[in-house]
Amino acid sequence: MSNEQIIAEINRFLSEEFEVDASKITPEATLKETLELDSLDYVDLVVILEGNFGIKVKQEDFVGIRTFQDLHNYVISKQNTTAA
Amino acid sequence: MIQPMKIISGEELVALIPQKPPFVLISSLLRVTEDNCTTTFEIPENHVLCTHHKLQASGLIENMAQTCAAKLGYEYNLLGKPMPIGFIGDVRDFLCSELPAAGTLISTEIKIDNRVFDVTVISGKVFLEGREIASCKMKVFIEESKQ
Repeated sequence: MSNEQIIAEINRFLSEEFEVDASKITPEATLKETLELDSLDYVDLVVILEGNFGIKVKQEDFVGIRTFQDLHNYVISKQNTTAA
Repeated sequence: MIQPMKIISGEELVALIPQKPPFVLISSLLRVTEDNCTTTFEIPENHVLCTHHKLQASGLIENMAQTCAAKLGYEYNLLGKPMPIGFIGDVRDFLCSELPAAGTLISTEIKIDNRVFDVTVISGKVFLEGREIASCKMKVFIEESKQ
């Protein structure tokens, strides 16, 4: 899967799961505000990422993830690490 | 696979979970595997979560949560670790078609769907005489004892 495909898939899953208009998911938008995440929603977010992208998310990794761009970069990086 | 050698009940079962009477909602631990657990509960006539001789929805939810607690308590006990404390963080998709009467025996199955950080995501189903009468998804926060 190309990086563009990964980004499109992430956005599609998040749009569906959190019932947010896909147009609101932009690289610079923040996850918390756009998806209206509370602490329990972060669990759902991790379940989506782990279940659909074959990665294992660590709690400490999430500290630096604020925007969708951060999330895209993180998943792409983890996938590349897994594939290597 | 983790499998109890025998059915665990009574004080031995209560010792595996943080809840204490009268808020105990499981009677026997029948089966534990890596991702599943099955318990039964014979509903006492005077249980605090019974109203008009029926176990209420809150009791069914707590019953599923305690089934999860029993699985964790059993596993921690095998490892010689102190029992963890669990907190229900979220209940979703709760369906209940029937409230079981006091005096009946319900059987409860939980499945671990995911473990994310300190949260265990489970699916639970409650059966009465083979009929599924309730189900839900639940997030349980697990706090390991510092003892």
